[in-house]
Amino acid sequence: MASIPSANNAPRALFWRLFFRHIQEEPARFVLTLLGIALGIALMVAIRLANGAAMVSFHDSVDLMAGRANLSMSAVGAPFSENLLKDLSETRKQGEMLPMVEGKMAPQDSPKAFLTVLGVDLLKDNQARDIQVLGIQGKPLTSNEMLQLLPRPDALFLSKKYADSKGYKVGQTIPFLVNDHVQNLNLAGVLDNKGVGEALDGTLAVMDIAAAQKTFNKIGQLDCLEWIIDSPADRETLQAQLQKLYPGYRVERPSRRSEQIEKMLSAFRANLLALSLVSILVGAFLVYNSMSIAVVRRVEEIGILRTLGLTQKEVVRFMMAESFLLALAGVVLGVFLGKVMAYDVLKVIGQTIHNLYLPVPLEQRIPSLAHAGLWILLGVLLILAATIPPALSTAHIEPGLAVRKGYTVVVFDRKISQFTLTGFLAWVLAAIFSTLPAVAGLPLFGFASAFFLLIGLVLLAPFSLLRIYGLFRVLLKNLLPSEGYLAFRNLLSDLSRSSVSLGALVMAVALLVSVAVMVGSFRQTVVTWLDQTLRADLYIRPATDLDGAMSSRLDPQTLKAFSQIPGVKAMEKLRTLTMPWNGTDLSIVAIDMNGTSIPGRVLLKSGADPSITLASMAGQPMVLASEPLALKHGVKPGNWIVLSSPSGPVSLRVKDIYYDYSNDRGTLMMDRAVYASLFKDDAINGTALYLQPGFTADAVTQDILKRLPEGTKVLIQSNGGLKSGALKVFDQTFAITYGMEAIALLVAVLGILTTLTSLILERRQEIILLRYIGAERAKVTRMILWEAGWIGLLGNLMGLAAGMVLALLLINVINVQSFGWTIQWHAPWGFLAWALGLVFLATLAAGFYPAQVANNLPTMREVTQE
Amino acid sequence: MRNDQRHLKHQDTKGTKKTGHLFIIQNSKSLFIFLSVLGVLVVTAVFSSAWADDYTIAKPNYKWAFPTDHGSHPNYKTEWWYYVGHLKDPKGKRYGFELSFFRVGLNRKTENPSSFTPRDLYFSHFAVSDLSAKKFWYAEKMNRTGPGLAGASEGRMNIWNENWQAWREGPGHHLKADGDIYGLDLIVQSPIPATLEGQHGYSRKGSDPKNASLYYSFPWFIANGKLRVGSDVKYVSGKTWMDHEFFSGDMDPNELGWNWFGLQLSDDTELMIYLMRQKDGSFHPASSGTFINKAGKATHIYLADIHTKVLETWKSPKTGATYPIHWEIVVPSQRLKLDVKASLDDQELDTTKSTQVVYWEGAVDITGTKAGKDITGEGYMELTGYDKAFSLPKN
Repeated sequence: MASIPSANNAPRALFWRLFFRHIQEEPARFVLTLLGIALGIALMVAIRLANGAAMVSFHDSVDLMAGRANLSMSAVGAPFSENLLKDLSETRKQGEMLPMVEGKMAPQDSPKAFLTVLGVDLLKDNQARDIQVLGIQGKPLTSNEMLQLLPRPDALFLSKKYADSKGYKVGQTIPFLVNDHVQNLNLAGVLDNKGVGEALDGTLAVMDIAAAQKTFNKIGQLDCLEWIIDSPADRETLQAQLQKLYPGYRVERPSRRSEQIEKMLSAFRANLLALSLVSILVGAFLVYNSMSIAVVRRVEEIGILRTLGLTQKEVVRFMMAESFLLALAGVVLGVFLGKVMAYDVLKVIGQTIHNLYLPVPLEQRIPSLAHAGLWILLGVLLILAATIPPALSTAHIEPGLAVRKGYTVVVFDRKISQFTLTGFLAWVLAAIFSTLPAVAGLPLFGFASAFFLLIGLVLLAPFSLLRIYGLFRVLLKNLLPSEGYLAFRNLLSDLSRSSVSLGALVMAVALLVSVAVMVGSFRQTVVTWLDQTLRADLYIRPATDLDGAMSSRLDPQTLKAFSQIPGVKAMEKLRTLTMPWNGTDLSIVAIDMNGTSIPGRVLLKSGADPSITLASMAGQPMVLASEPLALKHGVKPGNWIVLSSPSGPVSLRVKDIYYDYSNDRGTLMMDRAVYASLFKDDAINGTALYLQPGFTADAVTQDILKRLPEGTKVLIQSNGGLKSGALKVFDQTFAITYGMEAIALLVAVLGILTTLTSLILERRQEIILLRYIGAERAKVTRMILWEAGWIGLLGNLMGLAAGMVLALLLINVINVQSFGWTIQWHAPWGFLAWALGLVFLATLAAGFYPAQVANNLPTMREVTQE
Repeated sequence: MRNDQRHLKHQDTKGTKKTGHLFIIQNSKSLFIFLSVLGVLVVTAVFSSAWADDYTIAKPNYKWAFPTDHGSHPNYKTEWWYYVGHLKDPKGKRYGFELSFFRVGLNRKTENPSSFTPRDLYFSHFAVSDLSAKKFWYAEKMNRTGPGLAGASEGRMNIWNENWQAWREGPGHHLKADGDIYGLDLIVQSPIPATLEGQHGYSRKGSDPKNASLYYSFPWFIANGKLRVGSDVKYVSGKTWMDHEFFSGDMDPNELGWNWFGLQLSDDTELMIYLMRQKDGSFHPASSGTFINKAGKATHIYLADIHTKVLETWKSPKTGATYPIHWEIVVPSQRLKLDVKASLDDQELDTTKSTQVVYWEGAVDITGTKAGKDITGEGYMELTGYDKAFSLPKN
């Protein structure tokens, strides 16, 4: 083929000229496509960065809190005797040994501003941790000042950040809620913004170990021993020795904490990321759609270019370059947006992580984009891949024919039946994947199944459109105004574009429906579970237990006060804690099972009568395993679970499995008397009071408050209050999913807007003709709105159906493999009706702009004058 | 292994005085703020009246009772037990060592049942002067009483700081200390009874009678035991000097620090001298000494009877402090003319990053004459207040 000599530069210059002209001609399509890509990428980047931030923040805090200490030993649940420090003094030959007491507290006037207090040997602790204390006016405390403070039993060091945020001044005495009473502590100095002063977003406080033992009522007790051992071999030897000598203790490297947390959070994070991938997929469809439209619109132009001597390859390259430029611009914008959005996303998921996994605050610091690098690359590849088919289709344009009017190019160059077949194949794959088990605790096949379900759905869109038309043609023709019927036919006449647009909408709606159904089902399941298992009238916890971590204790004196309140029929005491098991952590819930238990306290999976089961467990080495524990670790009734206790390993038989939605890592429920004797721990974290008839919760609450010992502070929640609090946490947890759906929908609606606009421009002659033969502007508008309406309606219906299937997959496969909960199906029809109605309105609204475009087309007279 | 901070200085063999750190504090970034006071206290808290009101002041005519007085005296604010000495292994290699235990009362009135309550602080220095290898090494510990962390028994000699310990065993004392490079396990016995320093154990340090300590020594402990150098355990023997002092009083405002000498002469007599250094460069008139004859009889020596001359100084490249490390000491009444020279120039303990005190404490070699006849000896010298003048904390 003859090409113009010195054409090396010519095509490039030509490309740029054409590129800018295209933007000028269709600014709306460019901008919308750009936005669609940007939103998809932004969402994923934001999720990834926020996920990363949560982990980085936790890693940093663990590092700052451990400092140079590289081996730690703590008892499970309860503190241990400080005599261990004496018993283990020989280990000093391997390295420095440091004792520690930990506590939680909050200022009385802002009980939500939680502090974790490290009680350390301030004489020596700087060998491990970076503790820098400032006095009045921010000056570092002199050694003498420090030494004078050291013996004070109320000396507290808060981070500068925390003290500043609360307006506390050095020297000030501040009342704090400690466990279930108020304690005055003196702000002896503030921790500079480095080292431990930075950990836990400033909510880490420091006391001398003597003051901490007194403040937290742990005289003679320690929570942790730490070592600084330089030689790795020495450290491993000591670790092994300690593990052997003290089986009931947790002997580990401090860094192991962050590994455990990471493991604990992996399913949660994977699900968020998977959800964000859907927005990229929707974005990819938008790009595909937009570029296909561009090809169709430029048939004439491409024909001219070809006749002027450009090769097939060059034309394809032109198209590809334009797509890539557009995609890359979108990606760059998206990455930037994502980085900005990450802060808000972190706030939301930080709250969830806080509620569900870690009762510690996370610093609001977003890591570098490198954290999202791999995912950005994946997004870019997906989006670029979507631009390839339209670009390749330009190769098929016949130069001679294209310049003639009425030539159309088939972007969809395969037969519809091929798509249909592939679509069904994808569904078969989806079905197969849905039956495969989790990989490394992650529902990877579940995600794949969801992916193929959505892909199949999109591939089946043209087939569905045709089938629907085939089934209802007569009905449509006779019942609808002509515009409505015409509109449907218009969609069919250009299936290549309308079905892509429809596919994207179906996908977004399916996502919306499935998540709504899953969350709605989950919520309803939790509501039912709460109703059935929370039977007491009042629930009492130490005032410092606002984080729900149940790490604070009730004083025996306080407990005694409760039992003397008139109107109390029964009191149930509760001990909860975290325990290592099988390389992970699980929760222990010890309740009184000796006959006082109220029927229905737990829901058993076997369907057995819980009151009989619980009564039979009283005094026995038996446990109930929570459903997530059973599902994730294959625990079955009759199995034995071995836990490390201070007096060696103890075996507990699994009596039954019970439903539990309070956490996803797994819980063992056992008789409190059995727990107390095996683990030498009779601490109480909370109580539940059952009232006699005639006594109201309010009246008894007032009575309790009156009778509490001086300085005692507890949280009293009514049955209803506790339930609504639990549901509030639930709703916070899922807030992010709604945000993600909204973005996916926005991208899909943008797709409809571009599709319809292009369809109009494509059919300009037809529309001009329509107008010429007498169609009023209003009629044209109506026809176009009908088209939008059809897409909206069909998208909603197909999305609804697909969403239900996807919801089944989410509930029965992905949820079960990630978290291990049984969720009862419950479709939130009210919400769905409202949401889908809104989607329909949005698609209709997306029809207005194209309609306006159609009405602004030149009249026939103007056309003839051309 | 990192039980404590390690310092090892090396002096190369060519005679050029050069200090290189083979081991430096590993985490120099971390300031041991709290520890930091203590060093100052060793030297100054002694002299600070901050909390002295709660404590008994050292007075003349103290009723000494042994072995009870070997134990702790918690009614006095500050107390120390000091062991210094020269050791020799079978191959003839020479070592100097310092093992000191300090107790400083912090606040005895605090109401807190916690055993970690820091009523007293204990710290301890362990230094070895490896004279043949020309290396100086030291380590330190700092603790409160805690559950088994540190302490000193009352009524009997038993003081410990983690796994460093000195206690009465049979007729003598047993010393144990272990660091990352050097370890010591020594039994010391004295052929003579304890020497009461000053006036019947009342040792004046300044113009005010309160500037005084109760002070006795074992100047002639015969030492036998083991010294670990790396993984090499050597049997060693030699002489050791022990000081035990306790007091609650102030430092004279005109004083900067002191020079202390514990000299063990080849005729089995000993000479102790302390010179309180005043700001104008002179020694405070309360400075004095004690001469102990072979039978253990002590003779008090007034400052007027002590003539000193500095023959050589050494400037620490690390702290910039200049120490007089070579002296001529003449005591006319005892007909002693001694040349006292540091066995190793650099025996400076710099704990500015931890206990915040800089002092020179090390082995010295003695030559000279007694009544005209040649005499030799070994000893220990302590030089304080050379890096900076002490400024007393204002409370």
